[in-house]
Amino acid sequence: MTDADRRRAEYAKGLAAEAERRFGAARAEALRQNIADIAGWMTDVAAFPVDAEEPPAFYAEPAP
Amino acid sequence: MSAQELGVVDAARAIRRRELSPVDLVDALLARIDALDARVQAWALVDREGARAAARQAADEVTRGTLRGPLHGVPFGAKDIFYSAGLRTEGGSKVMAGFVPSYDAAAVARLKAAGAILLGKTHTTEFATYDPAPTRNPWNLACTPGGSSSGSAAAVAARTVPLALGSQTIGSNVRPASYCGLVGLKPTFGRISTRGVMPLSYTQDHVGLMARSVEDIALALSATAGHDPGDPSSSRALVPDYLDAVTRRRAPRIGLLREFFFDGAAAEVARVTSGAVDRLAAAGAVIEEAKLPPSFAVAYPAAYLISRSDTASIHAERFAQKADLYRPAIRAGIEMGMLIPGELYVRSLRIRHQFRREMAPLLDRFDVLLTPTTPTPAPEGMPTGDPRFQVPWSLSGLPSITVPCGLSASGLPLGIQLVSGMFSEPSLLAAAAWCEDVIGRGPAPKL
Repeated sequence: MTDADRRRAEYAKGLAAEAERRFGAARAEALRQNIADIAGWMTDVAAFPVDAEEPPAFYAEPAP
Repeated sequence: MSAQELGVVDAARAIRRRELSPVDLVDALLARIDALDARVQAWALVDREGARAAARQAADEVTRGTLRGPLHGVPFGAKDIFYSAGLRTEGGSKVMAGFVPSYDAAAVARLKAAGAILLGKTHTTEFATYDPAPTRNPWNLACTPGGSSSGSAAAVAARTVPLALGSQTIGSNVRPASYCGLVGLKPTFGRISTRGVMPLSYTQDHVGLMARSVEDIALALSATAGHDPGDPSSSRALVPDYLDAVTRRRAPRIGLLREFFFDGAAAEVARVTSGAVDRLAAAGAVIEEAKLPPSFAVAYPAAYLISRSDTASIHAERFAQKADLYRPAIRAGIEMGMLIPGELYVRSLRIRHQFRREMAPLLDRFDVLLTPTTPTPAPEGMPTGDPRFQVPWSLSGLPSITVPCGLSASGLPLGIQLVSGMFSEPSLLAAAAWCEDVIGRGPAPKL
């Protein structure tokens, strides 16, 4: 199992637990595929080396 | 040419020259809706009396020599997430059943101020997400028109209106436009105000335009672009004359994005798109392969983490009261958005900034980047298709446009997608118009 696989599994476990706590067991079960998708996206975003100086972008930058 | 075949520029010109009455144009389009819409189901609401009254007034004004603006007497449709004063606006959702706004969305108001006539509201997927609209693709009624701007695309393709407003948060304007054989523009983020549009994301919602030619899009963009103090995301960038820009056509420098786009397209789509690229090269375009920056690899997950989080926040109060009225896909999207950690939301916003920064040198080298618009032609059934070729431009806010480039073996439209730098719509539209000249305008579906 790679680091990414481990991280994805941890995210999925945490999301499933939180989904069950907030929405109930039946909804958490219904969300299983969504949880897998989100856990994958979270893993990709968390692993990407964002530049340390990079600010967040909310709206468009000023026009040239 | 029959009235319903006229595009925006031609209809406006004919009305201005008193060769066509706005009343006759509206009546012709209403007759076409009556003949076709039971099958296509593009329209959620047709405002017959309101459109006829506006057309009579427009005709009187023409007689008196008074023109409101460059779209005087030209009908348009608006996706049913755009507020329309006094007209039911339900966003394709039971949650909003019977809602009648008291004011027009800014884009609707600007089109009306330019003289255009609101013909009605077009079907959308629920709140512009994934649960499908009833709309069918006019090219093949068994296929999706795409979404979420399903009705807008089908209405323009079926020649029931020459212009429609759509929206794009992930891939909802450019993709359905391409599936239906249209020109569709997603302008730079902040270029057209989103005030009065049911929101899905604070930082990825774009108002989009659909028509049947680049020139028509340029005229509609001139009418709708501009700063709106009522929309905090609205840009103060000056609005150039986009219609003038498309008269400055010249062979563009094109960066070809093979990685991810051509490589991720079905063989037939890659072949048809490559054929179009060969024609552009033969006509004088300078074409080179372009290499995507590292942050492109995470554009897709970042876009989804941002939009899911935003949607959860936007719908939080309503969802707490009416969760059972939401259809399955948006319900799941809202619930998942509630669970995304704040740290990863902000990290996604930083990835957006880095992606924009890393794209800048590439966009400086070329007038436009070119990709196939969609990985496949419109799929059969009601799921609205794959938005992945639009996602990077929705995340970054870079403007993109689709232009028809041919038909699949099964007779469905395909398009090329062009992308340019922030607020560079003049060069994007000029390049798109040049490509349209070389490839030829898309044909009409046989309904």
